[in-house]
Amino acid sequence: MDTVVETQGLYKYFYNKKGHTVIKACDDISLSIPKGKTLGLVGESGCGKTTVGRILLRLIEPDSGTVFFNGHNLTEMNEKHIRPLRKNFQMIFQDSSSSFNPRMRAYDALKESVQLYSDLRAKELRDEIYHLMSRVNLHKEMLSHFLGSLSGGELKRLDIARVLSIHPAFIIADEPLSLLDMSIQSQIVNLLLEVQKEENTSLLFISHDLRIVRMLSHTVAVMYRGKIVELAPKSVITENPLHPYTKHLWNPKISDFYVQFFESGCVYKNSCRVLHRKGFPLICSEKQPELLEYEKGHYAACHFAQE
Amino acid sequence: MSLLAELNDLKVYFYDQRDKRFIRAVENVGFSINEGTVLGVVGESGCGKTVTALSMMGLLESEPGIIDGQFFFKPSEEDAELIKQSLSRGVRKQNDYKKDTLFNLFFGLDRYVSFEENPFTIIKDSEKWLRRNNRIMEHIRGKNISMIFQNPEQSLNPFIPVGGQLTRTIKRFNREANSYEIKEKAIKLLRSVRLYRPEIVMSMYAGSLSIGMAQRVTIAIALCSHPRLLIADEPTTGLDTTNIYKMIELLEVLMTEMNLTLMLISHNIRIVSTIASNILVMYAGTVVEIGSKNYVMKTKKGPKHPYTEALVSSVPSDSDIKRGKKLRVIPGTVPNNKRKMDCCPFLERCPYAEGKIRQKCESACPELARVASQHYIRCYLFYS
Ligand SMILES: Nc1ncnc2c1ncn2[C@@H]1O[C@H](COP(=O)(O)OP(=O)(O)OP(=O)(O)O)[C@@H](O)[C@H]1O
Ligand SMILES: Nc1ncnc2c1ncn2[C@@H]1O[C@H](COP(=O)(O)OP(=O)(O)OP(=O)(O)O)[C@@H](O)[C@H]1O
Ligand code: SF4
Ligand SMILES: [Mg+2]
Ligand SMILES: [Mg+2]
Repeated sequence: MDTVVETQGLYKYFYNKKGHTVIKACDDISLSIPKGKTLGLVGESGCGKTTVGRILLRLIEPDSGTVFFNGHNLTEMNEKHIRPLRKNFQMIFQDSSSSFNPRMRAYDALKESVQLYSDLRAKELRDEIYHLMSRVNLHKEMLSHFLGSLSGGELKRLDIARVLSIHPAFIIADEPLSLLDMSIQSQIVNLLLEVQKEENTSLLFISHDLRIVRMLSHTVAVMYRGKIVELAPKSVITENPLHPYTKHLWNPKISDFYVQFFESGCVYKNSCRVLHRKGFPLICSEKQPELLEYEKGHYAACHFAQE
Repeated sequence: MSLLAELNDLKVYFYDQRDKRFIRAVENVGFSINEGTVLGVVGESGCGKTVTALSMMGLLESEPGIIDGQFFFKPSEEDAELIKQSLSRGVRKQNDYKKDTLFNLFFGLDRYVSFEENPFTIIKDSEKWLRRNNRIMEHIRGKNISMIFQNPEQSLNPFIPVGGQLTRTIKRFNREANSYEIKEKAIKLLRSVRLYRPEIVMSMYAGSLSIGMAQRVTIAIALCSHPRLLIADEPTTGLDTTNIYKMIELLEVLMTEMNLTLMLISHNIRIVSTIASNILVMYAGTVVEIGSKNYVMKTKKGPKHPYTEALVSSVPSDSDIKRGKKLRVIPGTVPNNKRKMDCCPFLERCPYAEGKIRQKCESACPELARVASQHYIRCYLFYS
């Protein structure tokens, strides 16, 4: 299988102004996404999901690590050489409101993106735009509205239409469903699956909800405070999760507890029930467990993954 | 339990200058909220939830458009005095008060804005009205009604660190507290909205927060003014499932601790139903069902608007998802909100609109009909 996107050892730390504290947004992230497949990326708010997505698009620079796109090493290229490739990777932004100009009309926004990489005639252009609108279930009447006047969910769907209009080979969808109600969520999930089938698109699907990620991913990566703590094919992560955090995500109603520890050791130790049950083994607070392969394609980072 | 707020017949129309037509954002929306209860508002994307909330806050951008209706609210006693004073400067009308403690915050709207429906004409001076209204709303916003915006960037200042924004708001509402107490309080609030390492978050700027973090910071800011009514517009979208339930728990605790009343807007009826006492279901800008949670959520028996039924059953259960069941879609689309509503708004997607009843559905938009005490449905199926 061809790999479309691959990252190796991505690091991105943010330093506080005074330099005392660091936020580890990406801490040794290695991922790969094959052609026509979806990688789901889940994790709690603030764990670094968007940061990973933005590094992949080279909207921000990683501290170290490499990103390959179709064999090109993006981290070594400068913007001039990346620009022609940009058509191939697109992102559905989490905060659609800040990625659009509110004084622009919906029609012009879509027109701009359709014309970016194709030269359709007036009529074809209009048909294409109408078609896009119906795919994301928006009225074509809405095309004359200002972007600033659209509701949260309408703007999100417009952003999805914008990305689809470019026909990219790789789409990063950053929480594309978070503002939509269930029925529309289902439509968008079906739409993404459809597009993937038609155009053999690769997807990085980011969400905080493991249950949604599961619906359309082939492989799922679970992230916690900048680290990948588990990575496995979808069916495996559903049936046989190894990491305590993944197990917790499947059963979120059980209230978790919170113990303040030092910063060293396993990233998950503050909320880990296994650690608690085991009577706080030293190894968890001293050493970050490595991401190890327990069965084929199933990785987990926990000292007690096999128990 | 006493009445805290009551919205009657809210109408919000925007004007599309290019098409020279009105956009019907909200029509015939009304409800009442008792002190200490939670009103959940659910409905499809674009159905008018945010517009309703913004009109209650007096934050709707006026031009070009129409807003009409009455919004009665019971402010705290001291603010009631202040409002009474500023109201008495204008012409005081009997129907701007209710039970002497509730004020119509849309005071005088009818004198500045009026419109005919057929054909559409508006006579208005909404600029003038807004200026007057703002004077009253200054006493209301923050202390009495506070809102968590759907879009967190809207309420965060990008140039002041989170800590600064929080402490400033806390200071405004607790004049006696010293700076140490204020800082402690700010950190405690940030921790209670489940932000990890709140001391660090205090020194961060809005631009360096993740979306979910920004959302929780806005919740903390909205809470530090101790409002009587908190309008939370999709407060949980950025959170993962664990944190959603934690956040709901937190809101529940705050409701008893701070005597808070909550209007919770969300697209997820399941989350809403864990906390709400009453649920308002909106569709295409209007209320299609309102009632206590037990009535609205009951799946099998009992009257239920066809849209609510579709909405409730489109939420898959955990086991459905785990088994990889395909998601249910409500077929069809919402009606175009530039056309006049001359039939039931749900007609196009309704599985029950058949035979004789369909003629009725096509004839006019049904009225909200009472089906049980405090349970209303807008559907011909339930006309007696
Ligand atoms: N420019 C920045 N400066 C400082 N810290 C930053 C910056 N950008 C991101 N961070 C921090 O990096 C961490 C990860 O942020 P990111 O936006 O990737 O989270 P996320 O997983 O997408 O969360 P959410 O689900 O809330 O969107 C957060 O703690 C955030 O505060
Ligand atoms: N200033 C405006 N001008 C024109 N139309 C507007 C304006 N503001 C809102 N609308 C329209 O009014 C309708 C209701 O919008 P609203 O933001 O209340 O939806 P919502 O229920 O909050 O949806 P969501 O769940 O997607 O946030 C939408 O169709 C929107 O496009
Ligand atoms: S390594 Fe220890 S603390 Fe970390 S997840 Fe495993 S058991 Fe829990
Ligand atoms: Mg994010
Ligand atoms: Mg909204």
